[in-house]
Amino acid sequence: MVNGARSAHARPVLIGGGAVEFYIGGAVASGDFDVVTGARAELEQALFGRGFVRPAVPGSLCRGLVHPGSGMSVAVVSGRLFDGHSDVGRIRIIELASGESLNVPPVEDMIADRMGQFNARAGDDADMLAQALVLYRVSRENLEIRLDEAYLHTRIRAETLGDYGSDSLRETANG
Amino acid sequence: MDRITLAEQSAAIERHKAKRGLTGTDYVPVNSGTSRTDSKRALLRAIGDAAASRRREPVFPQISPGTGDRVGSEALEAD
Repeated sequence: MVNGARSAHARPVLIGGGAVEFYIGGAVASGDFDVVTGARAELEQALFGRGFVRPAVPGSLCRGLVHPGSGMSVAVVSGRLFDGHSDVGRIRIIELASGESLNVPPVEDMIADRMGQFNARAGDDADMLAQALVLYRVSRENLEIRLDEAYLHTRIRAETLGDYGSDSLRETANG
Repeated sequence: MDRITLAEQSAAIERHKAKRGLTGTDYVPVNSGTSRTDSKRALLRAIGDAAASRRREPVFPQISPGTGDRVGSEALEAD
């Protein structure tokens, strides 16, 4: 939609459950699409131009936009992809049948993100670990997109503050 | 940057599912929603309200119009 943005920092990238679903299918997303960009105002203007509106939610700051006709919604997050820890050169460009394209983080980042969320919560979050495992298993078998184990290890270490690495995931996936 | 079509990725997922005998969508656990922010809850509530105003089911039917929460035992979260 706004892939003509001037820099990788500004390029909108789908994150969250929507990005997980791109890689492994299923029904992970909660009904909206989370997008991170360094050009939030520009992206929101583009969405307004396509009929999105900012919903009026009394007593709450709603940062997302909703398309009334379709029910689709987008939550725009301002900032850098994974706080600047992602190698933006690895962003995957998804070519859609409409001729437009969509950007998603490399699968290694999504695995690391799930591992980080698993590790961050008291008592751990088993659902996040399970998503990471499915992402890992599907990615190992994907002939179109090769998994970079070294990059995966680096990213998991970063997102889990050194508690885990790709070895932990591999052993669990093989178990 | 790598480029891939949606059809190619869909085919990869289907190969994986076939290899492991998976069907449907429940082979991937949904998010628990435990870290959902107020903004996210408000947005999900707006989705449900918009669908209700059109007298249509939400695109993602498990979102409650009243609370923005996932209905049922499997609450989830997008991020």
